[in-house]
Amino acid sequence: MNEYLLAADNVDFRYPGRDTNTLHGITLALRRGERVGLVGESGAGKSTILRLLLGLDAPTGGAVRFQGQPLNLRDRAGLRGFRSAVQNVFQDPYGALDPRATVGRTITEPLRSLGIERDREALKSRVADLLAAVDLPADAADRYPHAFSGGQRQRIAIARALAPNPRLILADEPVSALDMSVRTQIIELLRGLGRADASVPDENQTGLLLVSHDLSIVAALCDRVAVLQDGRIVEEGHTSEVLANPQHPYTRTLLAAIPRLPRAEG
Amino acid sequence: MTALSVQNLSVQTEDHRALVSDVSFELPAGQRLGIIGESGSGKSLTALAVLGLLPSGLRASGSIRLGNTELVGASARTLNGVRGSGIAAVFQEPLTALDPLMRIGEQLAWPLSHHRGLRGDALQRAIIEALAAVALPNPEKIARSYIHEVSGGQRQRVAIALALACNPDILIADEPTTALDISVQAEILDLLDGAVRERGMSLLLISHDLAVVSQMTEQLLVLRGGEGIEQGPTRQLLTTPEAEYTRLLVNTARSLEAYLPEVSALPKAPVPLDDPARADDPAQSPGNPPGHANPNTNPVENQA
Repeated sequence: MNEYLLAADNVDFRYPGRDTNTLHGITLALRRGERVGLVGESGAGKSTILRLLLGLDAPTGGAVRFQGQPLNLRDRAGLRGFRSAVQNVFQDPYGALDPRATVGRTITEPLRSLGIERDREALKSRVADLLAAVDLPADAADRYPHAFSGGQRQRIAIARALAPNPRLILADEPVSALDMSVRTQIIELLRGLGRADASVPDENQTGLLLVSHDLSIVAALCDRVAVLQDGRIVEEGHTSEVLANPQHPYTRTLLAAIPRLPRAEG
Repeated sequence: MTALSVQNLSVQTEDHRALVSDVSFELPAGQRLGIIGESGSGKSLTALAVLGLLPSGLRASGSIRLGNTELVGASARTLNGVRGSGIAAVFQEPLTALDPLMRIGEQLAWPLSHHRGLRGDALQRAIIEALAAVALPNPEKIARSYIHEVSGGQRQRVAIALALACNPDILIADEPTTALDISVQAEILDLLDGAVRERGMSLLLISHDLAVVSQMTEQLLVLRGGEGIEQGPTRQLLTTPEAEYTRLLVNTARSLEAYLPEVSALPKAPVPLDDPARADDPAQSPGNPPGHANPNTNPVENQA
């Protein structure tokens, strides 16, 4: 079995009609259970990489590999397996949920659309488990998204992503639209995903690719970090090492630009 | 002297729901006050009430005094006289303040001619000066550009130039860097800091970001659900907060910051970048402090 679950292998990408590439030779490999942060500013190509890794677009050069095999967007049966293994959570918890679907229906959508589970009772008990996993009350299942705050909606989106028992969650700025006081709760929730039992070997846990402009959130959640600038990865390594000893001037700029609080006295 | 005095300000909907309740603060001349709060705290409505720009259907009560002028219930004529030269504002999204169909220079021409009576060559010179004052590279070219032709950071600089055009006594900045990249944020904060100091303006900075506010202000007001929770010197509030809610905000911010290395441990001399696309631009070399790129080298860029 290939040790990499999902990998971009020397990927180039150019949007149709553009004369320059958006991505240049991106190589980014995720081992099973690994948590990787992808950091960069607007226009760096973060979202484009996510689209390629989700199989929503095909690279114009290089390949995206899932379990070692190039992702074939025409292979519908193969893609079903891929989609249940790789789920995503977006930035905007308001836009990501169908306002006309109950929370229960929203959460089970991947199970139904991927044909994983159709039995009503089984779906119901899965909803209860998932709501409990994201610390939402069981009665949330019958309510609609408008009844929930931003942080609660992001919990619903995370519950939906967890539904098919994915091997990897791709999260695009999952906390940047949330208030500070809610932000840490969602970070804690993401920290805890699949890590309830420390005795389970890492590779059997849910991995995370966290895309963010915020280095502190990446530092809180990720073992490894890649820094993206102008469509190129300019630095990559263990998060603690990159933060303690950034090599690329751009990484240093990002770190130094983060505003800090005055130090506590005493 | 107190530039701005807000006493028992409330903002209500038509059906008497209070969105801001009994908020009071003073902004002495030349001082800087931060208002911190989360969504629904009423921080932006407070700013809009001071500007007399509340959305229709909302009504302010209490007192907002600018010098000797009462703004609550003031006529449109009084408010128009105050806005621009008395109080000016910069918002989160510069595009809301800027007209997409008008060249940047023309947009600056209006306040400069209206409030300062400038015409002809003097007006043209003032436009270029206003753009150069916010460290925009090649101000002549920027003046001829439309707003979609410049980057996000440059747009916010244009919005700041517009706010500063009439030399206001008070600048209100409502989340001025929230929509910007982090490296651009540092430059815009630098710019605001310098502009406020040089002109001796008072600053009312509204933000959800404690670290940003702590760098920019001396006094801090914490709002939650439309009510004032705690008020005092910024440093004191952030190091020894008294209200439970302030403590929650501070602890949350500190817990995230704890994942980052100490500032003193960081390698020095980072390269300031107004835009990642210009990382290799000689005008952005480490020799230039943030916000002071050589004005002769940078062409107006098109955001792809």
